[in-house]
Parts: sequence; C-alpha cells; structure tokens
Amino acid sequence: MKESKHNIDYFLADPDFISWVKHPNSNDTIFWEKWLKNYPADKEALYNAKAVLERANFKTSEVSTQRREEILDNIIKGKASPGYRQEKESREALIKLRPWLLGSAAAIFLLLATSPFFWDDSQMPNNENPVVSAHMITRESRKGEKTSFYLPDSTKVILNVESKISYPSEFDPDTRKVVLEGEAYFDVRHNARKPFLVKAGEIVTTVHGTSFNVRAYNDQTSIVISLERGSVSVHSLSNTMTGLSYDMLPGGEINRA
Amino acid sequence: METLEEIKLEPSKSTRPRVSIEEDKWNSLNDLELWSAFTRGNEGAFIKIYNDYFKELCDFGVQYAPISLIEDAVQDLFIDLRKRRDKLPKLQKSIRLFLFQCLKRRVFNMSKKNKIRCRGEVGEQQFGIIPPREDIIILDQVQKEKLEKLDRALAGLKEKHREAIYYYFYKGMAYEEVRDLLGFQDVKCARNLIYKVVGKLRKVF
Repeated sequence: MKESKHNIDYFLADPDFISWVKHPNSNDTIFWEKWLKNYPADKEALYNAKAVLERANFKTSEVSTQRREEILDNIIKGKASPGYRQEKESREALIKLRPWLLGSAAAIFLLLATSPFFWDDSQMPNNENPVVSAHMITRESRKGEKTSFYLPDSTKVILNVESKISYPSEFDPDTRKVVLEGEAYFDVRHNARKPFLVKAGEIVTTVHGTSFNVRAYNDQTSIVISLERGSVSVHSLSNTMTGLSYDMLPGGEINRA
Repeated sequence: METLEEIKLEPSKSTRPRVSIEEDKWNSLNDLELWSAFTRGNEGAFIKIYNDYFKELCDFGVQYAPISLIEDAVQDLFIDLRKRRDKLPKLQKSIRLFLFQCLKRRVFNMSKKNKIRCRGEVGEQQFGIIPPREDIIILDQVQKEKLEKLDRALAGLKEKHREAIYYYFYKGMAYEEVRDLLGFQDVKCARNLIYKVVGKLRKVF
C-alpha cells in the first residue's frame, strides 16, 4: 500500500473523478471507496475536491417545452428574431434631433428639472388623493450603487447609480407609468393592453416591446434612450415639440441634448 | 445498425419538414454522423440536434445575458445553420463545442452592434458562481466555515477563471475544448489556466 498523499489537484485533474461527483453512480462510488481504503491519507483531499466541484455551481435557464417548440417553429419558418432583423437592415444607431429644437428644448428641460410634475395629475395616483388606494413608491440608488428590483407588473428595473424612480404600488388599469430621474434599464413584462410609459424630464417613452435603457440625469442636459428589443415611441411634453414623436426599433438610440 | 444511407431522407424541397419520429434511429449515431446527416439536408437530424442542445445552449447563454436575449440568439443561430448547412465547416470534435462557439460569437456580436447590455455591463456577473441549495443541513461548524471560505474564494475568482471552471469542471469538457472556447492558441494555455485556478482554491483548505 502506497503512503503518498495527494492534494485536491490530483482529483480535480481526473475526468473520471469529476464525472463521478457530477453524476454519482454506485459503480464509481465503489471505486472511490476502494481508493480511500488504499490511500487513507487522501480522504481530506478527496472530500475537499468534491466540495470544490459541488460549490462551483452556475445559473441555468428555465425554458418551457412549449417555448422551445415555439422557437423551433420560427426556425423552420425561417422567421428571424427582431434583433437579427435589425442587424440585417443595419439601421443607424443614433437619431439626433434637429438643431433648431435644441435651444428651446434645453431651456424647457432645465425648467422642468426644477419643478417635477406628473404629466397628467388626474391619472397619476398621489399621496394627497385619499380616494386612490395605490400609493407612490420611490426607489433611489445611492452613489456607487446599482439596485435592481421588480415593479408591480414584474417588469425588471435595474437602477443605475444616483438614480431615482417613482411608480405606483399598483398600476392604473390601462397604463403603466413610471417617473425616472437618472438612469435605468427596463426589461418590461409584455402586456399588450397596458402600455408601459417612462417619463424622464419632459420626454415620455412608451414601450411596445421589452428591453430598453433610459438615461436622464438631472445634472446633464442630454437624455439618451437606447432600445434593445421590441419598439418604443418617444414624444416630448414641451410645447415646441408637441406632436413630434419618434418610433424606435432595436439598436436605435435617441439622444436629446 | 442501419447505415446512414438507409436513414437518410432526400433533401427536403417541400415546405413541410420531414421529421423522423423514431428518435432511436438518431440515438445510435455519433456526433459526426448526426452532423453529417444534417449538413446533407436531413431535417430530422437538424431537429434532433436542436432538441438535444437547446437547454445546454440556453444554460450557457444566460451566463452572458438574460434568457429573452438568448432565446433570440439561439433562434437566429439555428436559422443561420439551417440556411448554410451545406457550407458549414467540417465538425472538428463535438457538436456541442461547435454550437457553443457559435453562440458565444453571436452574443458578442449582438453586444457590440445592437448595444445590448450583457450581464457585465448591468452590474451582474458573467459566469457568476452560485452555490447549490442547501439540501443537507451542515451541523459541523468546521465544515460550515470551510465551505464558506470556499464559496468566497470561488466568488472572488476572475471572470476568465470562472469561465474556465464552467467549461472544464461544470461541463466536463476537455482541455482542447477549453482552449477553443477561450481562444487560446495552445492547449498548454488552457491546462495552465486550470492549474492556476486549482492552485488558488487549494489555498482555501
């Protein structure tokens, strides 16, 4: 019987060992038990190596069989996902507003930044209205800290540093409205009957698709909306821009300076 | 065992795919044979490959980006493979390796062109290590502390190291496959990286 002592390297370099830990079975277990009988000094190393393999676990995906089949159906039909179609048409990533708008828009933005207001008071639940059952929730992230959470409709929000978002504890029956200061990334839960609106400064972004990012910090004059998936419409509340609305598709970015 | 010629269907020119409903036929083929059947136009082989690797590809993809994006990437990948089936390179080692390489490349391209935020950019880790659920209550305090120390060491590893762990330990791939996925020239580089990672973990004990 050998007395040599192995360390975890020895076991972790053995594909059979790795395979046994990942897929335990009685044959292999017998093998390794015999091993320990021959090399009792290795017991600790073996268990440590096993622990390494067991603790080094990763996230997995949960896709339903139905969804998998749905995707296969699209594949057979040759129907590309929206992201790919965008790439093929190589849409220009930046849409800049015409220069003659910039002067007045910047002034209005500064004005609005100092007097926060909800674009339609009657529709936005607020604390002063005792009849409304929903209350406003405000989430803020601190300096150097990002925070992620879910809105009442399961939309995922990742709030970037020094940002603030306000939303009702329960969304209105026909729209979902949030107010943003700073930057956030939204992964919007699909609901065709309830459009999702983000107000940042005087820009309102209406979401028809899923994931997009809005950057509208108060101390900067630009507002950037970047679209990842789906589509959004962007319109401004300021008077000079009434009626102007931009539709975006994935890969697009609207930059209002 | 049926020969490939007997299994093979004519390249499908009809709009309706001809699917082999006898999975057993396909299970007896190895990677090269299955891939070959696919590239020669067999729709059943294509569907088998899709069904066999769909979950693994999604599990891999979510290390980089949310599942919704990965579903898109996988969909587009398979559309592309099916379109260019006769122009695809010869299979080197395994179907899985080839598909992983394709997906990784695709996610990176999506991230560059369409400004999609991969996990690294929105504050979540790529190849983040998640300790398993505690099914067994650890009563031994010494054991518990050891595991906590191990968990911290794993979480503290650099992303590339965690990625290497994913391929070599978690997926049980060979050094050559780790080399290919990490883009190394030499298998030695992959081996050394794994040794380095193990060396760091050895210090925990």
